[in-house]
Amino acid sequence: MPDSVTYYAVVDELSSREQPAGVFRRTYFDDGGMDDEAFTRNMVWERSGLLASAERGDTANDFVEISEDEANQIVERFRQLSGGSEPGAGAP
Amino acid sequence: MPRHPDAPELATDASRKTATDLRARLERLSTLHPSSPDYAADRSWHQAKAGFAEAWERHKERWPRPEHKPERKDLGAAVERELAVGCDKIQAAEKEITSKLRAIEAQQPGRTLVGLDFRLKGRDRLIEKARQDVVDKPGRSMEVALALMPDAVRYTLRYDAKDYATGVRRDVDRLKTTGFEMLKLKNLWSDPEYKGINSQWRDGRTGQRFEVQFHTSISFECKQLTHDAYGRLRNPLPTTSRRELAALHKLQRDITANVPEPPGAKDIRNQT
Repeated sequence: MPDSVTYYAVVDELSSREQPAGVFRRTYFDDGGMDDEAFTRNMVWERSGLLASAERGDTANDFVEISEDEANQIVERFRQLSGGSEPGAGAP
Repeated sequence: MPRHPDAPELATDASRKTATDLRARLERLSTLHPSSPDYAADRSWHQAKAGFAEAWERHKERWPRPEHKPERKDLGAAVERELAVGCDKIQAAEKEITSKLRAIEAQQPGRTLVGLDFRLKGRDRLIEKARQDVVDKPGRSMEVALALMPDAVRYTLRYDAKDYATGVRRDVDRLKTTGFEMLKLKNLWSDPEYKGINSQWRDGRTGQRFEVQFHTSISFECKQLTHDAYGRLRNPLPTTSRRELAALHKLQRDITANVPEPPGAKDIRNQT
């Protein structure tokens, strides 16, 4: 059972908070574990090191904290843009 | 009234000069000398390093990481060609940028470019990073990911702690007058897992982006020490446990807490 989940809009030079390049979530669990995931082009939440890179000084992306509702809206927008394709398709 | 023969000598020009010389000599003392003003901070750092080395060994024993080479999918001939062209451009631009960075380095003694052997990200790593960017950002292409990559070319300037804040400001000005455009500056001296200032630049002539990191000796050393731990966070395997991820972040926080903050570092503002 997750203890807390924080969502982020991933904003880079070609995107904005309103239309971010990606959406991310960091989860802390009751047992002391944690996980970082991005909603990927595969249309699923997958483990990602993007936030850890930003915390290490990578300047490619800004992480703007957003609500779960906003995150769900972004996810829905990505699904629509992908044409509603099945999860797992399209990964390079 | 004549002075008592045992009275302390009055300060004279000669004795004042001696005091000035003594202060200068103290500043030049190795920080490992107990009389050095930085001795306490550096001793604490050396102890922290030893503690981290032990903690990292324990971590690797508890969570051994299997050898893992990411599968290199065939991206198609057209994409592969575009990527090859992109990588060639980066390589060509790097030579010119490095020559200008060396000229900036030569303008002032006391700080140096370090890690120059690693200034150009390897081709495989470039493509892997672009691929991951495309996975994490639905709708992004590999070519755009490569073009926007901030650290395909990267440099680090290392300063003595006492010269850091002034040195960074002067070198930022030098980079600008050399014809580089600053795209972003990120001051992480208040952050718990990494200390330093990272910046992203664009070369006016080639359009190539590159990164410049500004470090003290200790913050640079901390970055090097935590490189492998960070590698596990940057590329978590599907089998990496959630508790290991939490432990990796704690390892970074614990050692980074011992990096002394140079005077004035936090006053350098972020730029976006």
